[in-house]
Amino acid sequence: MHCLEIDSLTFRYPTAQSPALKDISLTIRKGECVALIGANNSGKTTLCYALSGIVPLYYRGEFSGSVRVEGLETVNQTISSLSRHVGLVLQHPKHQLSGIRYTVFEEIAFGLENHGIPRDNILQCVTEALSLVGLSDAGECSPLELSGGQQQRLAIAAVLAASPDILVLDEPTTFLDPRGVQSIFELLANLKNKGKTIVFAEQKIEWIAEYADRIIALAGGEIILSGSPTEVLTSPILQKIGLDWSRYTKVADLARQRQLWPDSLPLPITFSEAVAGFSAKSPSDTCAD
Amino acid sequence: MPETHSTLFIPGDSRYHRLHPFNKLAYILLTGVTVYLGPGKSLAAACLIILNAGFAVEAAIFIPLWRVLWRTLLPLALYMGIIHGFFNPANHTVLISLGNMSVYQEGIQFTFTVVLQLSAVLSASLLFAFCTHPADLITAVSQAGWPPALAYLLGSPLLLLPAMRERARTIQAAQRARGLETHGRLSQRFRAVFPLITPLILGAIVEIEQRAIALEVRSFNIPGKKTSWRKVTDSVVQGFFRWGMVTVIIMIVTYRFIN
Repeated sequence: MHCLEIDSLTFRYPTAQSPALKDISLTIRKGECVALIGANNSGKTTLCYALSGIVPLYYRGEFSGSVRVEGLETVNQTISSLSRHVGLVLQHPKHQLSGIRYTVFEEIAFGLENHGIPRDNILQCVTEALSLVGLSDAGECSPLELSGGQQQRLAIAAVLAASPDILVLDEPTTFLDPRGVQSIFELLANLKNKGKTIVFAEQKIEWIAEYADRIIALAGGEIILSGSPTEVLTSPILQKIGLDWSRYTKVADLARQRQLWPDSLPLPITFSEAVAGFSAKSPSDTCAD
Repeated sequence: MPETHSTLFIPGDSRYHRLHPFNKLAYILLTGVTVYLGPGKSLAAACLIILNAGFAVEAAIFIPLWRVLWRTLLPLALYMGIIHGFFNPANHTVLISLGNMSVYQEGIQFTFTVVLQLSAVLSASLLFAFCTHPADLITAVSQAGWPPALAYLLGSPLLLLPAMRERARTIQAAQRARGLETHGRLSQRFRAVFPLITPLILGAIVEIEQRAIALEVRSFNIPGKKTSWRKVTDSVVQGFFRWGMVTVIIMIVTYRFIN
């Protein structure tokens, strides 16, 4: 069952010369984890905004086509009503703090308060959200005291508290250190296991390879590639749109040119695939070659 | 509680801390109206300063309050003392002669009155800032049924100030690393202001946009009744005092208007 459906979406920001998105059509199944990749200005952020209704409800530009979230046409909804279906997490963790709440608990409760949820339910929802993102012990801390990774997890908890089935994240690890990046990807894997549909824009190819079910590559506002991680991340087109293969793919490609990589195996995109491939090509095979 | 929340708020459980934010605001207004419009301005200001000092002692914030108060008012008092002591048009009673120049009693009295009035209002305002968390003010404003945007406008600058300060420090460090001189002569410092302020303002504008989107997706602008997790204490007695202060303010303003 498709929970996100985009049909012939084209969008141009009011002050821009050319469209940020051109004739985008795609569907995303419930429970799928989809990564959006692309160079800067490829349209990733705008696509994230379109999926959460920010485009065209907040950024009112030239919009054509349709975006349906769980069957709801976004142009006919409000951002607030869509937030119960799709949660948007932005790039910079600090910018997502409301700035008017004292503790982590209150920060998460903020969205629920706006929806008029009773106090007892707020307690339950916030406790669940804190537990889900692994911040149960930080409920009484100031949001500003948290590390970047924790603040990003707080931002995710803040949108999860409203119980959306779909989570859209716009480059959520950009400002994080390696440990913070790992914690976010582990959280996404956990959320996927709980049945959430996840769409995330990201630049970190090696992490995407580990966690995404499907990858969509964008360039100039258009979908250039779409498919499984192996199909997309080993495609030669990737390098033509300003992206790069992972180091595992590059090493294996070099090895293949020198007959050091088994012909029967596709190029690897993860560390474990690379190890498996090089292990399959034993030293005796190499000598024989 | 950490200092990262607000530049001035000092957590505590004193009676002043527990007062409803509107009572504290009404008290600031009452202080201002009394010392500027009421009869016996200097005496009223002195009484209010003593009262505020008592509140500050009770709330265990006397020393930080006093520190901010004198740092703010001492330069002003000195500047006004010099200007009015020498040049106030009402001057005629010589207090001290300094060669061709004289310091006059009327100018010094005027300065004293102004500093007393400012001390009363500023000490009441600092009591509010030290004893009221902005989140409580926002909650009180929201619970009173005022628009959420107004509540946000009132409270967010206080809460976002630490983040702005942190960014200003980062920009300053970055500009220094690129050779910008931010210390030394006044002219050097003046030249450094523009490269420091510009990225700070531009960054703030970008942040405002991101924050606006973040608020939108968390339904900040949704119409209808909102709930509040945070509770702000209010009572019949506090309400009585609040309206009592408002009544006195109206009476003083009316008195001033009639006389």
